[in-house]
Formats: sequence, structure tokens, C-alpha cells
Amino acid sequence: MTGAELWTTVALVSPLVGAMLSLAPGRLFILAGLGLGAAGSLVGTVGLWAEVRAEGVVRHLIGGWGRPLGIELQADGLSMVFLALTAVLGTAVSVYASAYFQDVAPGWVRNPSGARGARYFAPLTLFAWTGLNGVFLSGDLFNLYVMLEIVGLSAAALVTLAVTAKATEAGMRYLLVSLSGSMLFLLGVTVLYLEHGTLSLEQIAAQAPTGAPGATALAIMTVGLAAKTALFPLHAWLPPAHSAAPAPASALLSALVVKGSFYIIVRLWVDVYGLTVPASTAEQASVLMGLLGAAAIIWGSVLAIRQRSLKRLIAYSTVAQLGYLFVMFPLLVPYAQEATGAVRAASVDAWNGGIYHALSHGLAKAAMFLAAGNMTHAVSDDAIESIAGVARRLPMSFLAFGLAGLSLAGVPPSGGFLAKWLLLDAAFTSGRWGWGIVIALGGLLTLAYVLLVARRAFDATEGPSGFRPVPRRMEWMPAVLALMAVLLGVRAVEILDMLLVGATGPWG
Amino acid sequence: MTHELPYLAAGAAVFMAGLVGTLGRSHLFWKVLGINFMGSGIFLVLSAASPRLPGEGADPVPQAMILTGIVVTAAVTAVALGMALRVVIRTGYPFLSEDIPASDEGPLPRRARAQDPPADGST
Amino acid sequence: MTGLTWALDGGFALLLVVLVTRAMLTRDLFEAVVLFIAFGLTLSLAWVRLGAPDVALAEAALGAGVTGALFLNAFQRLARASADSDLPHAYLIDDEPGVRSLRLRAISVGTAAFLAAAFVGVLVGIPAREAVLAEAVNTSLPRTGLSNPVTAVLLSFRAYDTLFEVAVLVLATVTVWSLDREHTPFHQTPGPRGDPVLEGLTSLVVPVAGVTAVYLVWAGTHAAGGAFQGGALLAGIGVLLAASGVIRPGAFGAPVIRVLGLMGLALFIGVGVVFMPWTGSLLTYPEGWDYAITLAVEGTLALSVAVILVELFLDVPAAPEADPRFDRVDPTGDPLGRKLRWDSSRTRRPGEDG
Repeated sequence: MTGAELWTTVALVSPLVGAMLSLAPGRLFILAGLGLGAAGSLVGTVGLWAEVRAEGVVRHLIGGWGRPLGIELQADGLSMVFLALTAVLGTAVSVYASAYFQDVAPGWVRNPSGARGARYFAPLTLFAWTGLNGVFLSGDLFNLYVMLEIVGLSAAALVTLAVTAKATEAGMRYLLVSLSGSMLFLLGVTVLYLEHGTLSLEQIAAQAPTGAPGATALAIMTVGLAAKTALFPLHAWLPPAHSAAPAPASALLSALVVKGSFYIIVRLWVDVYGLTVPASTAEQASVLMGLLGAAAIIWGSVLAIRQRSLKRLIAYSTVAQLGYLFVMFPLLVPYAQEATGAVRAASVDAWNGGIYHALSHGLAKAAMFLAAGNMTHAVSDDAIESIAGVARRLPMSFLAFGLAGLSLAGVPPSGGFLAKWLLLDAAFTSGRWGWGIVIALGGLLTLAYVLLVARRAFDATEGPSGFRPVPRRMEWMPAVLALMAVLLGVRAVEILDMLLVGATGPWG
Repeated sequence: MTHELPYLAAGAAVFMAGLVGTLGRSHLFWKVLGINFMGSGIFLVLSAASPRLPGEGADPVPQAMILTGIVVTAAVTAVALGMALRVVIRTGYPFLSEDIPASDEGPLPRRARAQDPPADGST
Repeated sequence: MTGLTWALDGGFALLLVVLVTRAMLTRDLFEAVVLFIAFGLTLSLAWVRLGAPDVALAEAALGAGVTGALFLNAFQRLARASADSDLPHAYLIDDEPGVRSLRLRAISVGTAAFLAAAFVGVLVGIPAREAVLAEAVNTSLPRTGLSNPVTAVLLSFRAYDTLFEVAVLVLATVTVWSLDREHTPFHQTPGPRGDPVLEGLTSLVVPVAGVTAVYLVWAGTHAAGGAFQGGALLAGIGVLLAASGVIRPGAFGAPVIRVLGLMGLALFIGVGVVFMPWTGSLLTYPEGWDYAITLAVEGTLALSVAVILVELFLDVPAAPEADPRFDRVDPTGDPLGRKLRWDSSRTRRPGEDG
């Protein structure tokens, strides 16, 4: 048994076993399940990280069959970064949720269904966790479909853990979008299988899937996955779903779940199709992705500024920040045919910046949603209006919200700053000013809506009345995550090095 | 073998009908039906277009994929129907509110209400 | 002969398209559900014609059978909710079949047009290819100890997919439980009264179906059949028994039954992991043990699949009339989040005023 075989198994099996364990009656089993999932995910990720750093891309041939007959797991730098994000966020959110559902369950006080959240948050989260780890490790197209269904089902169920009519409707719509997206993905998988006679990502990549069937398959799969990632203009389901869910579920959904389908888009575009060829239809397609991303940045930010509810503001901010991930695509394409050092450097910057943004957004957004959960719990209301004075009463939650917001806006020395700076650098060295302007403008708009919330939170004119206490665990978790989001900007070498392991683009 | 050709065409048509139903109907039950049809259409295309070994049945790998797909779709349908019923329980309507216009001139209420008993809460 | 074959296959294909089109266009929900079941049965005949008997069995048992039963069950609960609403037709007869939003209408037609073009591209572009993977399956088949290649793919070559497919089933059950606020995994619901006709039918059908199910699971190793087909058939028995009142649905809340539902997944993970120190990779069994382990996994899976499917059938959230514990309208504000002409005050709110 090699290290890769051991650690991938640990990372995959422990959340799944944890999910089953957490179904047993009693709070002890719920905690044990979450603990097992978190421990296995963290240990597996650390072990695999060391393995990948030492040996490059690692594989696990399940059943010993090997492709094309069997299914292969593989881990490269991209998988590792997303696995690490999942392990950290999953653990932090689990700790937060253990207090949230036990002690407060904001807004549900009059409603006996707080118990439902306490009962089912753990198994559903652990299933989502299993599915995400499965997505990040899979090297097989059909297996990706199965994993996507696990993630989609558990995510929609997490939304409907909130009992309100709004949450039920939002969860239903999310489920329908998610299922339709999976069906489109499956259609693309079918076409690729018929064309290439294999489901292995690497084997399809080796056969260079160009031509009408390959392009059609990619288009169909991208539409389906973009709907699941809430890329503009397919984003309408996200704000209601992410704002109606219970706070820890919102954090998981906004920070992690949407990244699962994004990850598959990146795998397909970069590794399988190799869409980084200058002056081709591939470049035009990536420009289209970038334009949609740019539209998401502007539209999402403007709508975020206009929201009156705190959680909706954060949800629209997710729509905007996901836009950056797609602005990465046109910048990945080298701006000149000759691969000089400068040309390569621009591509490397775009790759590092885009994925680093996914990472820092994950940490910052989870921190914001958890902090918002604390604030709305303290004032028993979700309106931005009513959080006047929380900066004084909940300094730690407010600080977490502020730090995370500044990281999102790209204020140095945060992780968000580094990500945006790398993307800007890629845009400006390659002379593609337009993208740079959108990236900078998005940062300013982000700062605007973070400051809008902050101004209200500092507002001491209305004396804070009727503040409910927030358990300490719930105060700490967003602060830790926000601090990590900032620290990402200080110490980035390991992660950026890891991102280049096994990369296949012009930067590889 | 040519006898797969009709099924290939049927699969494409079934998928499209399912998609139009999912997006185009507002009643949640039809949306769930549509997703089931989309799946069946994909499976038909997959089976009808995959190559065969002479003298044997269909390629076993797509067959296994289809089997997995059928099971997953059945599970997902149970969840979707359960959630749709909860939408009915929570909101009173088997629709999502975005699919109904907010204006006073919505076509559906007038038509439906014409045949309704008086809404005084008695049954 | 070829003419007859063409007529047969063309007829089936045409029937499929007609059924699905009609189901998607009709205004009557009951008609749509019945057409869906008819579609599933026709499709299972099509699978036979396409040389896929395993899929045909699964389609008949799961696609048409269990899913059809789920739809009928949900329809019945919707009808019960509808009978007490002041808008009964909107529930069961969709007077205005299209989406009432021009934007969505345009999107759906646009997407369908895009996909029509895509299909043409795909059908034209795919060259005739040799069945490389099918040959690989045949070459490696002896090592699995199985002689049905489909079962070998499901439980050996791509067992990893099947493992997570069972996880999807368990997850679906958990999700359905989580939809009912009173529900806990070990929750017991009262069952319906017995029905003499159903009881008679039950005593006739159950033994035959039971034997067939066991046969299907065992046959899966060498002929058409397998864990999921057998499990679905067993689930059919369970649903019939529950509907006829022979076993009370509450019995399915018993811890033993719930554990049975999880056992398939647990055993699958267990045998997948336990041999890893010797064999190296996940889901790899020691030399010569393949057949025995696969058969054990298959049998347990069939039982678990059956239990899970019956649970999915029985645990759908109850309509407010059947379960007055539900308050239909969100007490915290406007239930639909916006001002609608369909004011929710027009619907009766059982259990809310009390």
C-alpha cells in the first residue's frame, strides 16, 4: 500500500463513515461523526500533500484494474489545494455548527424545527464533504457525475434545513438547477465516451478531443457546470438559496460547494481540452467565459450594494467573486505565439491568481457568513438596518467580517490582495487592459459594500438593545478563518509551488 | 447493425422534450418528470450509439453506467418529490413563486378561481 | 425480416417520443404520471431490443416501477392537499401549462434549439469505433469469477462508482427524513388500515415476487439480474405489504430495519478497506476471494436497496391534512417573499389557528 493509496482512502472514506455514524441516535454520535470526518479529511490531506510534493502527481488504481477498465484517483497540485480548502473549511464550519444548532439556531427559537437542523446538519455536511473530496480526487468522467449528484443533493438538503417557506422554495429551485446541470454534464460525458471509448480524463486528454463532437460535449458540460457554479447569467438561484440557509450551511455552500463544479470546469478546459492555444476558437471561447465573469463581477457587486438583508448582500458578493474565477480563463491564454519568459510568466500569474482567488474567497466568504450568522443572531434580525452597534457588542465577529471583507476587496497584505494582484499583473503584462480595469473596479465595489455594512455596525446613535449572547465557539471560528484569509497573503510560497505540480498548461 | 438508429433519434427527442418540460412548465411535478425524461433520453443515446461486439449483447460498460444512472435518478426523484410536497405544504402552491407573475393580471388565478368554491375556509 | 425489425424498432421509438411529448404537454397531472409509467415500460422493451436485458430489468423495476410508485404516491398526497385548498385545479390540472414568464420561455426554447443543433453535430461527427472497452471487459472477466459482464463492471471494475451510488441512495433517504421536521432516523409513523382487495392480491403476489427477487440477485453473477434489480423487486413487495396494511409503515422506523438500510453501504466500505494492507488499493480483494465477496456484497446490497426504496416511498412528507402538525404558512412573514395576487390568506391553514 503506497502513501497515495492510503491517504486518498482516508480522505474519502472517513467523511462517508462519519456520515453513517452521525445517523445513530444521540448527540455523541453526531459529534463523533463530524470529528471522524474532520480528522480523516485533515490527516488525509496533510499526508497526500507531502506525497504530492515529494513525488509529483500521484495515482490510486481502485480495484487494481487501471484505466480504461477501472477507475483511477489522481491528485495533483490543483486537487491538493482544493482538498486542503475543503478540510479546513469543513472542520471550522463543523465546530461552529456544533454550537449553532445546539445552543442558538437563530430565528428558529419560536420554531421547534431547530432540532431538525441539529439532527441532520452533520450527516448532510459529511455527505457533501465526501462528494467534494471525491470530485477533487476523481480521474474519471462518470465518477465525477456520481460525485456531483452527491454534492448537489446534500447541498439542496442543507438549504431546506431552514424551515421558512423562502428556504423551501430556494432549496427546491437549487435542487432543480443542480439536477438539470448534472443531466447536461452527463450528456457531455456520454458524447465523450462515444467519441473516445474511455472515461478516463487523462486518456481523453491524450486523444485531444477536438472537432464537432468534442466541442459540443464541452459546450454542453460547461453550461451545466456553469449553472451549478452560478456563473452570470445562470446565477439567479444562488442569492435566495445561500441567504435562506442556516448560517453554517450558507458558509459551506458559498465557500465550497460552488467551487466543486468550478473545479471540474477548470479540469476540462485546461487539462482535458488544453484550451490555452493563442489565436484560435479556444481563445474566443475563453474570452466569452471572461466576459460572463466580468458581467458577474459588476452585476453581482452592484446588486450586493443594493441589498437590505445582510445575508443576501454576502450571497450577491459570492456571485460577484465567482466572476473573477472566470476572468482567469482569457488570461490563461498566452498573449503571443513565442513562449518567451514574459509570456510564460503572464500565464503563470493568471493561473496562480485565479486559483488563489478561489482559495482566499473560500476562507473569506465562510468567515463572512459565519460572522453574519453571529450578528443576525445577536440582534434577532437579518436586516443591515438592525445591526447598528454590533461592532461594539460583538467586536470579534465584526473584526472577522471586516478582515474577510478587506481580503475580498483585495486590500494588502491579504490573500485576496495577492490573488487580485497576480490577475492584474497577468492582464497588464500581456497588454489586456480591459480585464485589469474590471478586476480593479470589482475590488472597489467590494470595498463599497463591506464599508456599507461596517458603517452601520459602528453606528452607535441607537443604543443597542436586546442583544442576545453568542457562544464563544461561534465567535472564534469566523475570526480564525478571516485570519487565515489574511495570512494567505503573507505566506503563499508553498501553495503557489503546489499549484504548479502536474499543471499541464503553458505554465506547467 | 442499423436497428439502433431509431432509438438514437428517439433518445435525442426524449431528452429535448424533457428539457423543455423542466424549464418550460411551472408545476413542480412536471419539472421532476422532465428531469427523469432527460435522463432516459441520455441513456437511450448512450446505449444506441455505443459499439457492439459481434455475436454478443451491448457493450457492458455503458450498460453499467445506465444502471447506475437509473438508480441515482430514482433516488433523486424521491428527494425532489418530497421537496416539492414540502413547497406545497409551506407555501400552499405547487409552483415556485418566481414562475408566477406578481402583477394583478396573472392569467392563472382568474381561470382557476372561476371554478372554485367560495373561499370562506369551509369544506 | 429486416422490414419487420425496422417496423418494430421504429414503432417502439415513435411510441417513446409520442408518450414523452404527450406527458410533457398535457394539463392533467394524473395523465402525465400514467404516461410516465407507460413510457418506462416501453423503454424497458426498447432495452431488450438494444441487447441490454440487465438494463431492461432495472428500468421495469426501478424506472417504471419504483419511480412510478413514487409519483403516484406523491400525486395522492398532492390530491389530498388540493382537496382542501381553494385552488384545487391549480394542483392537479395545470391550466396554463407554460411558465408564466416570457424570459424563461425564451430560455427553454433557446436551449432546446441549441441542443438540437448539438445533437446533429454529435450524430454526424462520431465515427464507427471498435468496442475496445468491451473487449477489455471480456479479457479481465475470468479474474472476477463472474460471468455476467455487466455485474462484473458494476461490482468489480467500476465498483467505486457503485459504492457511491449506494451512498446516493442513503443520502436520498437522509434528505427525505430531513424534510419532515418531526422526523428522526428512528421515527415511527402510524400506518393505514388494511384493504381486503389489496390483502388478497398481496397473498398472491408476494411469494412469487419474493422468489423472483432472490433469483434475480443470485442470477446477477452469470445472467441478467443483480442487486439493484432484485432490490427494487423486493422493494415492490415492501410497498405492496405496506399499502395493504400487512406490515405497518411504522415498522420501517424500527432500528433494526434502519440498520438494514445502512448495512449494504457499511459492508461495501468494510470489504473495500479491510484487505488494503495486503492488496494495496481500495476495493481490491485477495486472489480467489472475488466471487465469494462479490456475492456477499450483492446480497446485502439487494436487501439494503429494498429497505431504502421502501423508506423513500413511505417517508415522503405528509400533506398538511394528513398531518396537522405542519403549519402551512411561514409565521415569520410573507410566505412567498413577494406580493402575489394569489394571496396565501385564501388558502385554508389547518392547524395554524388552533
